[in-house]
Amino acid sequence: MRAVVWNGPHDVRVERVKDPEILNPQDAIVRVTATAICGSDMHLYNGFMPTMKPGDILGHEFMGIIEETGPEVRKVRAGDRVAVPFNIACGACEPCLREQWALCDNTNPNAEIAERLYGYSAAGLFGYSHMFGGYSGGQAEYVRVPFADVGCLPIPEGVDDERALFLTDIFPTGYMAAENCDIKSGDIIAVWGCGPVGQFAIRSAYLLGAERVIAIDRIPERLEMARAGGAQTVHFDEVNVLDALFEMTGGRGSDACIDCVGMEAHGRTPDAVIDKVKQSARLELDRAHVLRLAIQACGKGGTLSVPGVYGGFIDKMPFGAVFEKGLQLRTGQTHTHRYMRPLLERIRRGEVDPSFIITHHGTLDDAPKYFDLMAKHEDNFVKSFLRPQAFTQGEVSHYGRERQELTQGRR
Amino acid sequence: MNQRNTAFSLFAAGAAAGLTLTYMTRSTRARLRKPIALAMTMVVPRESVERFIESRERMLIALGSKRRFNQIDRLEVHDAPGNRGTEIYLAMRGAGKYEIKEVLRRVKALLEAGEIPTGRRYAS
Repeated sequence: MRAVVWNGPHDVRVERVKDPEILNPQDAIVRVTATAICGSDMHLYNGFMPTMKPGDILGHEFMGIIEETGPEVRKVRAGDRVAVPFNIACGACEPCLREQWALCDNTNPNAEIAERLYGYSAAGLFGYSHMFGGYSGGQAEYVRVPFADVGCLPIPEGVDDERALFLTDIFPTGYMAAENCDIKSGDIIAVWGCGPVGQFAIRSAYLLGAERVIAIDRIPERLEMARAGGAQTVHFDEVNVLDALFEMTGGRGSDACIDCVGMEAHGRTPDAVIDKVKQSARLELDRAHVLRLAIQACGKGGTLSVPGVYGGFIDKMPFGAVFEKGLQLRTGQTHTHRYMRPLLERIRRGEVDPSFIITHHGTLDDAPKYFDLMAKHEDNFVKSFLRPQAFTQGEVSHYGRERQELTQGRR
Repeated sequence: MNQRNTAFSLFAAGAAAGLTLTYMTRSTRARLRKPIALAMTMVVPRESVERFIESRERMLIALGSKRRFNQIDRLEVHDAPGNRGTEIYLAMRGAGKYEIKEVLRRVKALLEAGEIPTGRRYAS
């Protein structure tokens, strides 16, 4: 089959690789009908996420049709059209039973690496480094989905791929970020980063009853998209963000701040410059400029919600401000499984159409080009929607041929 | 020339003796050290855990090799507080912290999830 393969920083290629196969009894093989490049894939592309190996298949946002299931898969079957959350959960451990699916105890076979770094490991992730399990990702024609009964969400016929695909990550991620703010009537929410997660955080904050959302970025088309979602916008290169927020919130500060940027924040203040230098010299993993700003901008007793990805140890952190203002810090990988069904219902009811985020349609072959566009913020790129060739051209892969031969042989 | 060879031989012999001594000291210390006990909580009834550890066949899957049966120094099962499942305590002679954790993790995965997850990649 063909897949998007990571060969090193800024070196992503579409290559022929071996087809996936059932390895465990609860696995399924999914023929990918739609996939996308996530903002967090850029951390891999830029080489900031440790434990990537050349040859790794990328992609954690994908959906498709189940081709084959292991002997212990009961709830889904071949032919089902499903969306698959980016994190892998067993459904049986304590975190899964508490619906904290992203913290599953059992799905990271390389938990040791994460434990050495973080004390405990989160769940395994598709296509997101060996620290999170080394699972091959979904920017491919086929993908192996472990614990298929737990992860695969059947998508009804009335919901097309363009609207269903983003249930696998960015929509739930934006929604959880907003939900973590415990939004009350009259609340003003500041959202840093108007990329895909930021856009969904803006819309989710309104769905959850926010009075006003202020979106902060510097890319005009993203700010425009945020305005289309109802947000007031701040261009961080044009004004002092803290002063602007102070004024826009009547001096109270934001009731909650959402950092949708994560480890590759841009800025021109000394802390941002030092971060940039240290990250370039591999002395620091995260450029946390936005996190620092968000802490400063948060009003007293406010909430700081962090869906943006951070990986290591952050310095110059104004933790005194967190303490003195009594801020709540809510963060973590998204418990995607928890949100997929209710958000699918919202899509079905027409409350949200996630396809507004797509700016570039393409095939798997376009992935390297799109990675590059995304990294350079060119061509008004916000979000891709990729169709694998096997789907678009009706091509039957080696895997498909084998299956056909097997089926014909059985007949 | 001869003097140079002798000096080199003496240096090589000294280095080899130093390495051997270091290795012997470390391995003796490791043998004498009290094995580390590690614990993990599984969301399954105590009886299931007891059945599992009594089954040599299933324990073999968790341990990875027969040799490891002899390394087990302590294997205890307790009820976790607040109906949170069952705690397993495991100490193994001559095994590092992460080796023991790996065994516990496999026991936990088999008991809770029914299989040991693998991220084995299929990319060439």
